[in-house]
Amino acid sequence: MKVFLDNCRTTKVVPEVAREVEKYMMEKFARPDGLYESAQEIYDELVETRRFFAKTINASSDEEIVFTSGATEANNLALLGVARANKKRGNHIVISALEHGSVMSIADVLKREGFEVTVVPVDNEGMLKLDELEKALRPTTILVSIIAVGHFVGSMMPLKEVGEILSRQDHKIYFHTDAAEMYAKMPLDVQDLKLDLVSVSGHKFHGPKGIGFLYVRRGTKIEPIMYGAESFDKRRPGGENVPAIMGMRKAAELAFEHMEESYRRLRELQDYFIGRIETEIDHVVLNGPRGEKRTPYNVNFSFSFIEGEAISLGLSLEGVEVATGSACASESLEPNYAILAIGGDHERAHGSIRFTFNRFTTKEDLDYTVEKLKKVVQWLRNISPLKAER
Amino acid sequence: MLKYTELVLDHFKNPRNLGRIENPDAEATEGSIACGDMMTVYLKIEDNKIVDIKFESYGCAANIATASMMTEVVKGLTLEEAKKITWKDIVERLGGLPPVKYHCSNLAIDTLRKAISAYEESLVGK
Repeated sequence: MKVFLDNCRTTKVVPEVAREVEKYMMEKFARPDGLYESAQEIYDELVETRRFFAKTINASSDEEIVFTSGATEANNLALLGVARANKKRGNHIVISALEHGSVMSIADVLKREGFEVTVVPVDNEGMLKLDELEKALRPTTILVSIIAVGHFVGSMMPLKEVGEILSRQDHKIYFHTDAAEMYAKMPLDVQDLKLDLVSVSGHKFHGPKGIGFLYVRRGTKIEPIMYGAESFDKRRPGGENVPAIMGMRKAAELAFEHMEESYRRLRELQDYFIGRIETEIDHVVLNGPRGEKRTPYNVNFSFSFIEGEAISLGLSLEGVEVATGSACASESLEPNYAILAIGGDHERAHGSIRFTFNRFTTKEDLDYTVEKLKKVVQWLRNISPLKAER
Repeated sequence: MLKYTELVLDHFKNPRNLGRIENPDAEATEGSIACGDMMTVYLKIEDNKIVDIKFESYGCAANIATASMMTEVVKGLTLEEAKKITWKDIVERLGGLPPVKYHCSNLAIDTLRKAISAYEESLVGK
């Protein structure tokens, strides 16, 4: 049996999506920028597809959707594009301590360009500290970027409260969220949350890799980060990846169709999975919040006395694929920053394992995982010089 | 990208000389939990020869595999011979390791040498 529980990294493309991609590669292969019929057809379909995506987040116009190569590019366009276009108004950017690595890297680039960056801490559950956010704001703050769902510990950030705080300020502060782990998994309304920019990635909900979009509220001052010939969207020049866009659309249609039911079903499975691990394995710590503050798609545990790279490799040899926050599994040899950000120590980071679900995850998958996990954890604890008591 | 050789995976899945020796002639622990790698080595020594060796590991697969290979290599060697074994010898015997994992193989040798030193120090004054 094979169980893939690293769905926060990527998901499998579903057959309906693959068929759609193939259709736009083999049959409707035109680009939207020709004066002939097939190009005009694609142009109309792309506009209609932007309208579709705009509607999924309650945006007011199709022109507010910019297709990108994924969430990393969307994050780059949002942060670099808005910071550079608004630097006359101020040079201060605010992000959270749980941002995706791409936002962290972009923040470093902005610092080198003369911007100041404040990182707002999270509490022990991985929830943004709103009072710290409020304190961080300055008259020179132009952009706040808060991840929608902490991708490692699963905390759902209080975006609505952030939107309220920002709208109470006496100058305009753009509000961006990286919604890679939220979009098509739970409702996201840019009006309700007062969002100006939202990054989305297609392969997180069974769409193709290398495609995503950035929502840019009308009136947002933003510079492109790439330059090219005249094209469908001057904010992002270059030939549109039409097959991937149409595949992502099909994936989104299916995901939204099953969204509520999946949310409820995965919430039950999550409770069941957490319950089994906590009752059947000693010396474990759940990383991140419980209940409604946690995305139903994520479970993250630290296992004491053993190391996560060995756990994940051991599980992989048993057919279960997961992620770990161990330093030993990263090229940088740094322990996972999310575990440190929620107040965990190095041992907790090294022993952390992230299990992330998709809408097809079953109880059988999780039962199999628990059995294999028990086996691997017990085996590694047997060979560890660290023991609970001797 | 982390990719291990078949031999490394084999030593990870079936570590040789795993566990503890009761009343060892020497033992040593190196590394720390904070670093994510820790190892204990137990030695049984007769006539200046390592007649038995066992280890325990808190660490990644590379740590476990190098410790396992190290014990296979040094078992039966004299202390002088064992001290000459380097991390490079162990990594070569394993068919190589990802460069980012080199420090883990160091730990196996460091712990062995520390145990041998502990043994030699225990002889002084006997």
